[in-house]
Amino acid sequence: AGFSSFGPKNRHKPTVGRPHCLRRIPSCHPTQLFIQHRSSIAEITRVKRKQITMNSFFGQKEEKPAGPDPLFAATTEMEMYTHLFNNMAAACFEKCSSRKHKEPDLALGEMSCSDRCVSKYLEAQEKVGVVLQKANEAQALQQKNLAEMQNALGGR
Amino acid sequence: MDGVQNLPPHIQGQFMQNLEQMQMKDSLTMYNNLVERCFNSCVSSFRSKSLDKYETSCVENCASRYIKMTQRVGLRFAEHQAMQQKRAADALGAGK
Repeated sequence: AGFSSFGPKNRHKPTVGRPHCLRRIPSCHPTQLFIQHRSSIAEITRVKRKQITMNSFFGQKEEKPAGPDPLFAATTEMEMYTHLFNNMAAACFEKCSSRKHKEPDLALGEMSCSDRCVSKYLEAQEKVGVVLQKANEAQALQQKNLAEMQNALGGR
Repeated sequence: MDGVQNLPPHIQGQFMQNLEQMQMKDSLTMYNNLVERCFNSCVSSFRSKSLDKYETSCVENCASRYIKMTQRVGLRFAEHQAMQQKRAADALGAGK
């Protein structure tokens, strides 16, 4: 009962500095696991740090932050990607893994499901982005027409 | 994800610091969400004060599967980003 049944062996052995701990998760102490676990941001920043150290320039389709505060823009961008990653992981876990949790490892079907889930999620994100952009443009046009109409009426 | 590269170096250091803080906060958030998710999924009876054997193994398995899935999703996401960057670079190269 309680913590006594936490894992088959090495229950309370300190696991800091043992990266292979993650491969045998049930035998890790929960707090060590939590400290060692790479957060979702780390998954993303693994790519980012490589980019920064390589210091390479790729022309991007995405807009460069031309605003007054580049630090805020970069922070916001990183937060956006964090949210995207968290939501994606949560959604794919909900949709792809069974509720029984009988085994600590993912089954083969679940693994391929999560691969497809990721690509579908990112595709859906692109499509939604396009729709939002069109809606924004339509709204901006509408506002412009309204302003012009008001000017014309005011001019009389 | 280009905003970071456009920062001047002294702001990049500050950004890295912010990043560490965000990472820590996100770790804690993820931990809490994981506990809630696995609890909701695995624990349903309250006949005793402590988790029984089935619930314990279920919670452990749930956590380990979620972590493995998160790692896998991160891998695919990074691949997707790399592909997107490559496409953008090719487009830029072709445009020149």
